[in-house]
Amino acid sequence: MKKAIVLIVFALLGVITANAQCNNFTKKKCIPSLAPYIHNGQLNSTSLAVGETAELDLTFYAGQEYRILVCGQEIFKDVKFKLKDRNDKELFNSEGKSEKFWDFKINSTQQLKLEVTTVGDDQNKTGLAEAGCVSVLVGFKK
Amino acid sequence: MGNNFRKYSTSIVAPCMAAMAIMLASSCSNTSESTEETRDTIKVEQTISQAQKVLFSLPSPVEMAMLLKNGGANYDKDILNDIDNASKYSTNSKRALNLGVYGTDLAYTAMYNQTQETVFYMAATKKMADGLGITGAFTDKTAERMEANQSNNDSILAIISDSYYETDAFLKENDRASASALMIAGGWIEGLHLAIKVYEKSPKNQKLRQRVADEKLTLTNLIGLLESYPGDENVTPILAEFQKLKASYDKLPEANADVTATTDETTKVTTIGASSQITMSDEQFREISAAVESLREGFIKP
Repeated sequence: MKKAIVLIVFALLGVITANAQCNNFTKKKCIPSLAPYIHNGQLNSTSLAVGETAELDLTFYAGQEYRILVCGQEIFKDVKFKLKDRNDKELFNSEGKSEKFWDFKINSTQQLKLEVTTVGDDQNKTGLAEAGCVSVLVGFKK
Repeated sequence: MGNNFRKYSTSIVAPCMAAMAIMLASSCSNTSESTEETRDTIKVEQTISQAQKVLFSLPSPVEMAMLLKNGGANYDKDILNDIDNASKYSTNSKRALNLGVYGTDLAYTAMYNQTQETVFYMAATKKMADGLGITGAFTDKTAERMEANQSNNDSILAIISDSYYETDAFLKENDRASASALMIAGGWIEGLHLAIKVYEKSPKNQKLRQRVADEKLTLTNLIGLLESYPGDENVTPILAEFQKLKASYDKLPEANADVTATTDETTKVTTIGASSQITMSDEQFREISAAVESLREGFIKP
C-alpha cells in the first residue's frame, strides 16, 4: 500500500512539474505574441510527442475579431495548424507560412475545429522519442 | 470563445510514467499486494491520461463582458451577485463556483468603467481565490496595478485577464482541474444570467437575444468539460443541472449551412461567415431563462 502511495505522489509530481513548465513557457514565449489582441486568459496547453496531432473545438462569437496563436517548444522543427468548420471544410492552413498566428473576423457565431500537428525528428540522440509543450492561445479585440 | 483540447494518440509522458509505475509494482513478491498495487497503478495511469489528453476551456470573464458591451447591453449593478455573500461561502465547491461568478461580475464592472464597483468585486473575487488557497493570482501587487491603472480601461482588463490566467494555471498545475471546471461553470452561467437580465430590460436588443441563443454551442463544450471528471462529488451534481439546461437548449433549431472564409485583398483580413443561425422563440427563451436563473440561484446561495 505504501508503494502505491509513493507511486501516486510520484505520478502527481510529474504531472505538476510538466504543467508548471508548460505554464512558464506559455507565459514567457507565447502570450507576448498575442499583442495587440487581449488574451482570453485560458491556458490551453498540452504535452505532445513529435508527429502527434491534437484537436480543439472552439466557439467564436459573431462580430468579434480574433487571433489564434500556436506556440511549440524548440524541440519541434515546426508546429502546423489547420482551422476547419464542423463539416471538416478547411478554412486556414499554416503550411508554408512563417507566422504562427492567424487573424480573422467572425460574422456569425461559429463552432470551429483547430488541428495542431508537431513536426521534428522522431527520436533524439538517446534514441528516445521527444515530447514538448504546445500551447494554443486565443486573443480578441475590444 | 470556448474550446476543448484532445489528442489523437496518447502522450509520451503518460505511458512512460505508467511503465515505470508498473515496473515498480511488479517488483513486489506478495501476489495479493501486487494485484492491489497494479490496480492502484492503473488508476494512476488513468489520472495522468485524463490530465494530459483532454483540456477544456470556455469564454473567459473578460470575453463574456466584452460580448455584452459590444451587444449594446447597459450597465446594471443590481443584477450582480451581492458582494456581502463572499464571506458566506464556506465550502470549496461554492468558492470555486463563485470565483467564476464574481470574476465575471468583476470583468463586467471593469468593462463599463465602474471603478468603485470594480474594487469591491476584485475584493470579493480575491476572497474566493484565497479561500481556495490560490496564490499568485490576486495579490497585493495586483491591487496596486489596478489602482495605478484606474483610468486605463484596457490595462484594467488586461490585469483581470492575467489574474484569470494565473488562477486557471494554478488550479491545473496543482491537480485541481475540477475546481477550475467549477470556476469556469460559475463564470459562464453568470455571463449568461447578465445577458438574459439585460435583454429582459431591453427586449428590442436582438443582438443580446441572439447571444443567449448562441450559447447552445458553448454549452456543449461545458458539458464535455464537466463530464471529464466522472465521480467527482462536487462536479457530478453540477453536471446534472447543466444537462437539464442542455435539454432546453437542444430544442433550439440550428440551420446548418456552409462556412465561408473571405480574405480582403487590401487589408489581408479574413472574414468567416455563414448563413446558419440558431433561432429561439419567446417560449424557448422563457424556458432557458428560467433554467439559467434556477442554476445561478443554486450557485450563489450561501
